[in-house]
Amino acid sequence: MLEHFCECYSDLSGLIPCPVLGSITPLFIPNSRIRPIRWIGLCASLITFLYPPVPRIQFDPSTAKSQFVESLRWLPYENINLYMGIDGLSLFFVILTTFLIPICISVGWSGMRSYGKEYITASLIREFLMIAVFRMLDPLLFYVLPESVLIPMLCGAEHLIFAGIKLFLCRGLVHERRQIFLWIASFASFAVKVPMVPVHIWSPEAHVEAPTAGSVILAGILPKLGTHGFLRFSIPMFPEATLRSTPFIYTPSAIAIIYTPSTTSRQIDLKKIIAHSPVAHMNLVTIVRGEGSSSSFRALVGRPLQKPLAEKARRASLHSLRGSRTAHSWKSEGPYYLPNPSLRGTVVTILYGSGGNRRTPISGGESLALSNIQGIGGSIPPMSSHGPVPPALFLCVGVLYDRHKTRLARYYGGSVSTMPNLSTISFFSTLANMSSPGTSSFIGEFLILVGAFQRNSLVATLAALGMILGAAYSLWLYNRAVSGNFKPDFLHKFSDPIGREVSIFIPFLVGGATVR
Amino acid sequence: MEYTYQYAWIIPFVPLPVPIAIGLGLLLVPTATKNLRRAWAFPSVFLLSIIMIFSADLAIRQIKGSPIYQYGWSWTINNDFSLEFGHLIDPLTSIMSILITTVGVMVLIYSDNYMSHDQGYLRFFAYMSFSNASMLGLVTSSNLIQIYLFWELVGMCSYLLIGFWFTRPIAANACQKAFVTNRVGDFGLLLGILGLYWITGSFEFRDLFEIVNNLIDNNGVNSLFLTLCASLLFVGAIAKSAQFPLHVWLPDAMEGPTPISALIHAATMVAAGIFLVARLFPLFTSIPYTLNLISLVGIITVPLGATLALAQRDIKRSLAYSTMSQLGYMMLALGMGSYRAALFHLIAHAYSKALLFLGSGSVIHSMEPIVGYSPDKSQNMALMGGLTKYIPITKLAFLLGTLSLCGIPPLACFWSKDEILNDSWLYSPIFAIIACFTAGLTAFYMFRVYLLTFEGNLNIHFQNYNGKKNSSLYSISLWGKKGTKTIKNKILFSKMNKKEKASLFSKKTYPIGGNLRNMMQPLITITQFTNKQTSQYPHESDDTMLLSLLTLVLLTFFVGYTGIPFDQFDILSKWLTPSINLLHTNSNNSLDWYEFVTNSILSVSIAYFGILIASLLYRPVYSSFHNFYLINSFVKMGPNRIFWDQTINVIYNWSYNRGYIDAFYAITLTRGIGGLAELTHFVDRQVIDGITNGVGVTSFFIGEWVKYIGGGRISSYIFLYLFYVSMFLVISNLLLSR
Repeated sequence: MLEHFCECYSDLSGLIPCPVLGSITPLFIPNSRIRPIRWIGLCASLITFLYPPVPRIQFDPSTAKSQFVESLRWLPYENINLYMGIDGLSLFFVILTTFLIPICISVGWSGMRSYGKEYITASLIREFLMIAVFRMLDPLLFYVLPESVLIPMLCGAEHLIFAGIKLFLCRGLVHERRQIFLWIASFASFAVKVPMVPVHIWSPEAHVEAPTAGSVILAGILPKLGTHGFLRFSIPMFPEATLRSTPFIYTPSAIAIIYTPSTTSRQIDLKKIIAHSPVAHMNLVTIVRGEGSSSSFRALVGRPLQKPLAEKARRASLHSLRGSRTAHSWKSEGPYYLPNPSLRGTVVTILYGSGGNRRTPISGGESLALSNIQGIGGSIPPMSSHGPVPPALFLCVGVLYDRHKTRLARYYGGSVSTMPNLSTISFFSTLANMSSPGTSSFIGEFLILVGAFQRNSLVATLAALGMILGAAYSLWLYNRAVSGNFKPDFLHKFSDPIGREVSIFIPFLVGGATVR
Repeated sequence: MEYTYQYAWIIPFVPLPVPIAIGLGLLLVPTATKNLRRAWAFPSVFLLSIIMIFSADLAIRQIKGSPIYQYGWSWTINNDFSLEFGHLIDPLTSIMSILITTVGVMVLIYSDNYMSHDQGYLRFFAYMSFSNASMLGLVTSSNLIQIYLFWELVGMCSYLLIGFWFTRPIAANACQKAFVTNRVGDFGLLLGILGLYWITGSFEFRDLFEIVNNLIDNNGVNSLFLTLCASLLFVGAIAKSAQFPLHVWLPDAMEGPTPISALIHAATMVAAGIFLVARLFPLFTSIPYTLNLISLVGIITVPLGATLALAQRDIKRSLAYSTMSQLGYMMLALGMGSYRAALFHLIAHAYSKALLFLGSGSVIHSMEPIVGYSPDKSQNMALMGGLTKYIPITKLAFLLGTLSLCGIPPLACFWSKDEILNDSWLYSPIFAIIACFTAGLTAFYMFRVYLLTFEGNLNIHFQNYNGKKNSSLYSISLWGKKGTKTIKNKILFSKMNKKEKASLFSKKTYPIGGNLRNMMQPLITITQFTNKQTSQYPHESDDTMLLSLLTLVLLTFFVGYTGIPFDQFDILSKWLTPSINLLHTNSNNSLDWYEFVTNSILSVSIAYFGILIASLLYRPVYSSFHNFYLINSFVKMGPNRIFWDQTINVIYNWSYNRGYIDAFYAITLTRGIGGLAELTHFVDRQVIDGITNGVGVTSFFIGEWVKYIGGGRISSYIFLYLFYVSMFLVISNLLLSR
């Protein structure tokens, strides 16, 4: 039994049953006995959280292939199978999901009186679905699962990607022009999730309406579904189209980076202000996806390009790409993955920092030819750092809301004199939000800008401008809520977070430091 | 000997245990940590003095002529991109680290006493040690990434320290202003770094310089782009060193405790901009346009800071503007290519200004029990005066600092400023005239501060007359940035309108009617006070504060001698030889006596002229009657007088309202961003929401409309059927007939 358990633990098959079991068990306990339900939920999520070290140890960063693959023949005549696996990309997201769920459960610890069972069950089911999404390698199921994850609000645009996938499945190989159409379809669906600017409006609204735990998930994981989908499917499936349509990615991202911070200065709701920060962050990531696509494109060709020759080489590479694609169909190689092992290696090394060996300095000419690989590498750390940062901010607001039952910024002020611990924590979160050095966001943002600057200086300049605005609004928020005169007229309870609440925050501070 | 260099990486890490321990202690065991209290000051001073000795050792090695040392670890992110972290020990580093540690130790000792009654004593020491650590990290860093990293950390420390008394809304606003303004500079710095990385592919200084030089020689790079990148790097320096367009944060930064102003906003952090330009000097020298830009910014800042310092009431603000002006001198020197002069002035000014700030802190400390603990009162020079009697040692120290800053011979700033002025004559006569004129202005405003503070008699009766207005400002602006801004503006303008009477400048009209009263006043007030309470007099500060003051006095005295431009004395040139060799300039040929004396006579006489005017205008009348007659003769000069008055008023308004620059920024930038926010909010609410809602509403109306069609009336079905059939027939007929 124990051996079987260990075996089950060492490959990742337990990662899905664990939350499922955790969500089923409370159903047999009457709702009046809230304590065992809570503990079962917490334990199930914690056990799930202990899984990621396993792949961390056993993970082989040198290969690009998905590891821990499980497959299940499902609809063989349509060539639809249940493929699950994990690679450098999805490993991080799985870790993030399993990290956030126990926190969500403990956030609602004392709040769940009447709906305790539903709360636990819903959280664990959500965890299961998200893990499944991140591990899913089959496009059809990848379409189905986010649909079922949550938020009917998002579903509209996903039918487009369904159409795209269907076409892709039928045709096998797609013509370049049609590729662009499909790319737009899939992009539309992912853009809603990210959210990019014309369709960002749902994000602040949803955050305001959601409870704290909901906001944590909403800010921590949901935007990553978009970027993850983009990296996993759009780029490998439609590389040429992605390369062609980089302006489509750049323009709304750059607009969003300027747009959202300036909107925040008009908001009065604490949560709404914070809700804009994921938008700006994730758009920074999409910039890299734009350029990452082209760098992955280069990586496909497998050699660095001389800058003056770029145009010529691009054409040549288009041909070579087509050649290689026709030679061996992707399907035969199994699940979809980023096509070049070195690129995958990049992604993985970023996560697990294989540092140490000295490098000879690059000479000037060579550096111009340096292929822009730090871009896509850089897009992973911001996503990863973005995981803990806005949830931490939301938790801070949640603590304030628990105390004072208002989210309007004007009622707050001088919290530092009564809540020094909370002020310290929110100061660190604010610093991380504006990605100042020493926090997890810094390296990611820096790498993004290094990459983006070489690809498109204007976009990088705008993105860096967003940095100023981001600092302005985060500090403004912090100053309004924390420093200044204390307002005893509005605030009556003066209890600093202790015990449970501080212990919720500690993993964020630790996680923020280690994630990079 | 190698070991010293090899382990130099430890420099920034040595002060770190203190803030970490304090932080953890305050989080985990608050009461025990707070009870220890002053025991925390000792380790921070101790650790910093270890660094001081260490860097003195490094400096001695550098003077003896050991090579530049660089050591790095590489952190490979992937095969193509790696970051190097390391340390670089060269003359510039050793100069800066000695500067930081000596001033830092003095300020820490000083602030043990200064902050002893403050609630945030521990927090203060944690912040201070952390800012020292990050500053040391900045000067020892060997590449641009590290520079950027520590640059931001230093900015963060400055934010924390300015907002140290965060419960005061003014301080909270000031620290936010400082951080955001610095962030604008960081934006430039970051873009510059990225651009240079694009051009050269390296973050590391020496590679960078070599590659850029090669590229320029081979015409391998667009010179416009290179100039742009270098200028962007310089923007970072502009913000950090409070140069012209981005200087607005420095005077507001005086909301922090005075030791902070001495250490961070006078000696070390604001020098970081100068340090950056000096560090990248080989890069800038190869791009002449950037050098011109640097000198231009410097020469704009020099008179601007000096004129803005003319009419400030707050003793620390006036010193802050003076700092800005002196930093402008250093920028000017760097822009002119005189590397050595700039660094020399950096050192000399740092010690003198730290001395002045600590002196002003002592003054404030002595004033606080009498006038109250609001900075509007305790730092207000209108309420001071005649402090010589009460705090003689502080007065001596302050006077020496003032003299040094004015450029009076044996003191530090004389040597350095003289060198800059000499070099400016060689560079451009216009710049030199402005610089010399500002040297006179410097002497004028510094003596104004000195005279208002220490001469005459105690003016605390002004409290009602002046303090009330300030306190009303203070109490009204409890909340809201916008609210404060408008209120501030209103008060400023109202003051501007009726200020002729309120101004300090108009002390010159005082003697006409007020001579007798002024003479009478001290007698009356003194007797009254002696009757009431003896404790109503300012007290001299405690020994530890005086100790650091006097040490800085010594440093101010002797630091000038390191750089006397004659062969046998010139330690500084020996020190800087490697860097100067790197620049391929042979500017270190020593002057001969004759040239030197003629130049220095000019500058000293300008300084004396400034002092003379200041003492004519501000010297209290009763102490010297002949001045009174002199002023009267000035005043009664006849028709010129109106013009003279108007000029003075214009200057006064300009200076008192900070050159209208802050107001301009408030109007354009803040409102601009507010407008942008309005616009985006409108787009969000109306356009984007409008589209989504519009789709919903449209479908609703379509449904409404369709509902009536399918209403179940047979007649309408028949009508529609016939209608469509006839339409179809008509169309098909038309098409067929063609």
